[in-house]
Amino acid sequence: MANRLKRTSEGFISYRFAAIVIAALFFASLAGWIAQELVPPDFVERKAFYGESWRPGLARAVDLLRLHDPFHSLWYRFVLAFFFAVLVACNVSRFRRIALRSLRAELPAGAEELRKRPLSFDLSWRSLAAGPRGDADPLVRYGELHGRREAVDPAALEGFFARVSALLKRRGLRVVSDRADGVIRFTASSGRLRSPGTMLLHAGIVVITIGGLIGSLFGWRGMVYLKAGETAPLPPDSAAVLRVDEFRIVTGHGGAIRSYVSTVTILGTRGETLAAGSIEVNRPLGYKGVNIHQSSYTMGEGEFARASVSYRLRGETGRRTVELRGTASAVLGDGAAVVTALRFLPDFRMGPEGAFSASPFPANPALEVEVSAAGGAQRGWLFLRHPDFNARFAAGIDLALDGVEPVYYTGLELSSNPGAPVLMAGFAAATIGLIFMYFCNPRVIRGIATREGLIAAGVESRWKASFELEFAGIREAIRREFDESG
Amino acid sequence: MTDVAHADTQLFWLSFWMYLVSFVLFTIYAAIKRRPAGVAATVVFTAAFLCHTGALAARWIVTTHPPFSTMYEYAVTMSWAVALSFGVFMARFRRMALGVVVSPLLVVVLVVASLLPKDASKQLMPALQSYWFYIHVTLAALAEGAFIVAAGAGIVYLARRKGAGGRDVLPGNDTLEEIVARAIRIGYPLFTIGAMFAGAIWAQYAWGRFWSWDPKETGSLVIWLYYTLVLHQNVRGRWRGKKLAVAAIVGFALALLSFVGNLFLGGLHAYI
Repeated sequence: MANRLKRTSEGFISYRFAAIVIAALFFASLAGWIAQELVPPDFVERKAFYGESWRPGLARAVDLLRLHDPFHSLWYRFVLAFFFAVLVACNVSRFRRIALRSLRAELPAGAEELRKRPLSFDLSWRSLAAGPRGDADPLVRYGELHGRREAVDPAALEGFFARVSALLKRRGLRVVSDRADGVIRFTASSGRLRSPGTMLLHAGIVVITIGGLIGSLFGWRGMVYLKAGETAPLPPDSAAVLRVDEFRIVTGHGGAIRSYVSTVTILGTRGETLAAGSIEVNRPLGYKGVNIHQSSYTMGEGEFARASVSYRLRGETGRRTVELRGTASAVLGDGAAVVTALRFLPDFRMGPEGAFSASPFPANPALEVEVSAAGGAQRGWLFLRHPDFNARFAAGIDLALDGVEPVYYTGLELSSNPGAPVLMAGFAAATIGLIFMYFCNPRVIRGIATREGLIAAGVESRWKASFELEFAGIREAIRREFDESG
Repeated sequence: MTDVAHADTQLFWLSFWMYLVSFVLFTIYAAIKRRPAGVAATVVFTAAFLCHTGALAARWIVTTHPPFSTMYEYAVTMSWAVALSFGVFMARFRRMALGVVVSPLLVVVLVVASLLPKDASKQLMPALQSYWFYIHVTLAALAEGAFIVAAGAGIVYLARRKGAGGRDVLPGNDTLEEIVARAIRIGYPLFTIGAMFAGAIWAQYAWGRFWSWDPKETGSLVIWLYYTLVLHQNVRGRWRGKKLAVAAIVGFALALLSFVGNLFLGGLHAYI
């Protein structure tokens, strides 16, 4: 039973299982991504319609699996939770080993272990001193082949090792050595921060997930649309009130929108100012854990601040202009007629039930007016961008809409995310981990220097082909270092 | 200023044709295995890269902001990152024949760029006016450039295995595998930091939420999870050689899907 439990827990934290869980999350996300695009956005509102028009059972399956919003479905959350559990288990179980590995340098156990490695060399001090000609010298070669090596005295060994060590250090490797029984065992390594980096990255992802969880459980968000002068309670305790003082749309090059600016004041219960400032996109205002973001804007349907209307009375040649404010009337000429604004539509469309605005944006601004003259009152529409369609009035009055200033409502998103600092800490940890992990190139060479010679082996590297070249280079550098052949 | 505005597109087209010529020369080099052909291809490729850099600089001057704000600008920047990554790998491994695959991939990205609207706007839309925008897009473009180089090396690896190409000019299997793995390992941290982390932090400033399950965000998550899986499989010794090469090509296809997804997916990232 205990063995079974051990095997299960080992399987749970294995690389193999980690890969399976990542693959599961990958396929779940891919499926969600595709479903998000295929399921119509109005599926929830028109479930009955799709139930009838699609194949039988399809709409029910979409509803059951929540494919209209797959990333908040139970099945996706289950995969995400499982991924999180495996990630936490892997972090906890590997922490000690990785921490110890990065602190301690492992020294070689014996010469045989090194000789077995595919990337190794075994050179006697004598052959090194003989240089390239040593291989051709029958005496040196015979001695090497039959293990008859000349031993150097311990002081000379220290001197030789110091030269090897200096050479390895010049190549960016950190050398750790140990002396026992007349031999020097050493490890030359680089990129040792890679393992802690791996740990930090995985821990960072755990922290990010926790931050996201805190945000989704304890955070909140909401939208308010306010025009200048209006107020809204500031959640969560409504002890403060948010007032919009001004909303401006700032234009830049070629009339393109440069910024949306809301100037706001946060007021206390007695009307005192608690905070004030300007909010722009990318520049939110924070107040006691609540962030206020410039999210959007809209125009009040039927509302306008002022409209400029030009007119020409019957028999006149020139045009005159009158300004309309709200629903107040204006007199035309010397009292020949009175014009009153009735309704403003920012994006005029005509539907079966009459005129309506297709959007809150000024795509086709139109103003409905009533002209009262001696012959009675008459209503009609004036169009800013399409004056050819302006209403003709019986009294012979020619009216045109020259300009209109709509009433803007700024769209502010209020949100609070207590998980934000945790998320930021996770991003920082994971970023540092990534930098260590991917920009440290771990290489480990272990060796033993004896009184007869030097045995070394490349035991760890990430890039096989490059490390082979580097190892061959080190071998050649050592040869050159000790070559006394001239 | 008008001259600079023209220089932007003129240099773009000049670099496009030069990359195409370099592709032809790289192919000749791989076929006839004569070093002068490889040197000529490298020279033309370098000249194309300089024109490409000039096109980006001219665009920057015209628009008065770094050229990342439209899909055309992003495609040109991303292809520049591909050319840069290729140059780095070519200098490191001294294998000109890789250009046989990388140069046509570059041309493909530039063809996609050429089909996109090229209107230059001096005014960045409000949502893009943040230094996070530059961090996010630059790192994402560099990462995708590295992923494309990985896919290119993967194609060469598979072509070699099938016996195509001259064995003496193409890099060895070990070297090709190392190029694929290195390119992915360069691209992955850049993508994680740039596309995922910087993107999330910027989204918090701009929209008040770190993550919105926007189609582009989900696409990035899919790509990130995919390369996470590739790296885990590679570390445990499962996806090596041919499998790694295929994985790099599939990753490129996913990245391409996420990139062109802007044209039809909509959402908060729908900038054209």
